[in-house]
Amino acid sequence: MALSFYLAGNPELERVLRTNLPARRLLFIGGFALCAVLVIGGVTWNHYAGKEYYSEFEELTRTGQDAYWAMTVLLFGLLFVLAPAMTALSFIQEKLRGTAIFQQMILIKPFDIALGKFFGSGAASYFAAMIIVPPALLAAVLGGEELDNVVSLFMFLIVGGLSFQAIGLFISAAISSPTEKGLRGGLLIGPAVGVIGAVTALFFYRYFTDYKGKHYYFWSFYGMKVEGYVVILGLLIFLGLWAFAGAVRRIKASQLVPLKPWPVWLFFATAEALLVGILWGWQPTTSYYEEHAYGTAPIMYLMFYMTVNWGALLALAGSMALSRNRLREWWSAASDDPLGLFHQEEIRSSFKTFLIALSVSVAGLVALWASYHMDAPEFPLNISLFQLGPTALGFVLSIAAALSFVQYSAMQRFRARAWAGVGLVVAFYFVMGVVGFLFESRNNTPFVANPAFFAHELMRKDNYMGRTSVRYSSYDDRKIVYFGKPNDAKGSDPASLIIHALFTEGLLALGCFGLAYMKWRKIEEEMLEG
Amino acid sequence: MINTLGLTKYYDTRPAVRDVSLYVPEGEICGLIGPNGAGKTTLLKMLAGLLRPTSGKIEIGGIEVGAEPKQLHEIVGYVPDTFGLYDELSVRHFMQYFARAHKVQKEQIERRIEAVLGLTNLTSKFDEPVGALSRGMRQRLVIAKTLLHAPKVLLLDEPAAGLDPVARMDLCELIRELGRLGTTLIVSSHILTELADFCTSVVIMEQGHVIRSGRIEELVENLSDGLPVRIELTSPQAASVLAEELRGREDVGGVEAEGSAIDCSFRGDRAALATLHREIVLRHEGIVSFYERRLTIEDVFMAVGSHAVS
Repeated sequence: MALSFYLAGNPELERVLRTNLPARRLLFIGGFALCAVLVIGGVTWNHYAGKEYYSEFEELTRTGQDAYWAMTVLLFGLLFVLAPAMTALSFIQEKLRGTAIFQQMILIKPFDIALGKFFGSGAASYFAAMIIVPPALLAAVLGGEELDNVVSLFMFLIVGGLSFQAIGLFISAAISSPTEKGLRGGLLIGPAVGVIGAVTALFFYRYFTDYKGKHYYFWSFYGMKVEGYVVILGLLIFLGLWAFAGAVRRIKASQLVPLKPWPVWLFFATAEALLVGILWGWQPTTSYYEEHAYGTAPIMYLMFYMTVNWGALLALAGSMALSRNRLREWWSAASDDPLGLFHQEEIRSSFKTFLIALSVSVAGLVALWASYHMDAPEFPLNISLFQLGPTALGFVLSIAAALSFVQYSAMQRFRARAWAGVGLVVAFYFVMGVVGFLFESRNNTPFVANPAFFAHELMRKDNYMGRTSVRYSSYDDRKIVYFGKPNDAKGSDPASLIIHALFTEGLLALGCFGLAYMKWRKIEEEMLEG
Repeated sequence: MINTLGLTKYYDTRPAVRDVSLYVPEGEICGLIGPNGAGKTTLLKMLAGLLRPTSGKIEIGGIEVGAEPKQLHEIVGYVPDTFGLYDELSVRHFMQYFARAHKVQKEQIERRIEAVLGLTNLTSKFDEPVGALSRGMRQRLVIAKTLLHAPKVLLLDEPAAGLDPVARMDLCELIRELGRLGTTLIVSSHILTELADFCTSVVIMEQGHVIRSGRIEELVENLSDGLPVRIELTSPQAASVLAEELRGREDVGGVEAEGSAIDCSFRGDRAALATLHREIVLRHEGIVSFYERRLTIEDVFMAVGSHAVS
């Protein structure tokens, strides 16, 4: 109620509704939704009615079940696909229409602009959904669907739909291009977000119905057994809230409102906490006796963690790398010019943000690694720095190399600026990975240049990191029995592998840093002379 | 009202605006002129708080803008050179949206809308969809919505571009009216003759620099070395003979013959100019006209700078 009062006072929402949802369109959507409900009801009833082998009760029940699922699919289409797709177009449309410049000058709070666009863009879908939900619930009752499942599925529908809308809003606000062609390309974001929403719904909906209460589908969060659907809901809420916050931040940036760095720090900290929690060791799967079962060896989880973090840090490097323009601001700032000092502070702050994100990332890596060594109480505690140290150092060195190269690219005259560097770094590691796999021995330079591959090669034989399943023989005697043993394949000699990998990654970091430094100095000379 | 000091904006290594220091007093209608790429739009966007300068200071209406140009939006209105509108809305809803978006007090909204639509001559279009308005009306509608929060400073970027002659005249009248109401205006335009109609001062930009600025009459006065005179004759030959004679006189300077016309400046008062007129008419045949030419912004613009694009 409070939200509706708040929204009623939001001029942006009112404007979006007037623009996107005039009375005639509203009437059409209402009519369409009603027709869809009638068609679903009619077709399902026609399918079961009058069949000799069904009792009248069965006819009604089966009609209800089928109609419920058909309407639910329709609701997912509206809230998971259509609403996010429409929201993902909201800011791009403003830019294409030429009204974005007015939105930069209005005095509505960025939060209210985001909220107005969010609910305004989804309004058509909400309206259609409101018409479909009552008959869908009626069909669920007729079909004898479990109330608990209906409630959780609808919760998934609402939470997931809103989260994907927020993701669409963020992408829409973040996309900018000086050319109309570029912006028109951005229109594809709408359908893309819709497709991702649809895939997510298809992939996860069973966690809210059939898989509920089944231990096999439980997830682990910091070693606690948690229903899969709870984790999925948590992840969706997390993504949705941060995507919305990101959209508000993008609006602020477009209005030249100075941005505080701490939300980015908080995002990294919470995201890492969530990721580490999900990948944490101790993953019990059965109810009769405690088991430490990994369908996949922990080293694979660690590789996943490193890859996700590497990607996130690379994206952060792409967004904060200093273009020639920023360097100009840095060098031209006079000590008595508040604007110049502000520019310098902003640049310092972005570097601080990167260091904090990297620290959080390494802390997560250490915590995760330790969790795989402590989850089996009978195992001897073996926090071997011989593995952890080089793994963490290799990760940091490769991030340093990537950051330097991205900075080097940002100082070039590439159209995509720093993002060209991000693309090149990704391509480099991909090619190196493919080449590395072509050699019989994994201890080869292209392979170990990738810190995640290096970590895998270093630890795949390890009892803690390479096991696929470790189980107690019974709850009482707690004797450990391996079900899946660590990979028996002949591995590389650890010492030579570590030296080779750290030398390769160090050289790469040094080379990229040198490249960036030389370019930096050259531009400094050019600019100071100019 | 508007004060800038050492305002500079670089795009990459390319300077768009360099070391611009300006002072525009309250109530002034200032014309911003310069060739394409001179930095006019960049300067206006910085003054409108839409672009953060690389360095320098901006002070508008007593507010010194540092890192947060957003605070300018309360006192500055900006009409961009190209823009789009919410075509699906009616003029009424369009104006209501911007009034609320600019925090106009609820009880004043209708009165403000009525006032600015009256000023821009759009009252009759109140219930029409924005998409149905002509180019000139759309331009006036944007000015109307920009005036809703009564900005102290109005920045217009090429407001007459693409308008037909009647719409241009309406726009000029509107700008004059806004000036009379005490709004400080900076108008960027390529059409110099139009600027001359309503501007009280000009700023001439070239390659990111301000190369000349000041009140129009002062600039014109500084430009001319005496009274500017134009003599038109029946043939180029006659013009050439007369030009030769004028070059020999001490009280006439800057003699330039172009076709059958001569432009020169006379160093003396208007009584002496009448005497010169009589002498020429008596001694030369084929004089079609002899008149004192008024110098315009165009003359000032052509006289200063190289008109090079940055």
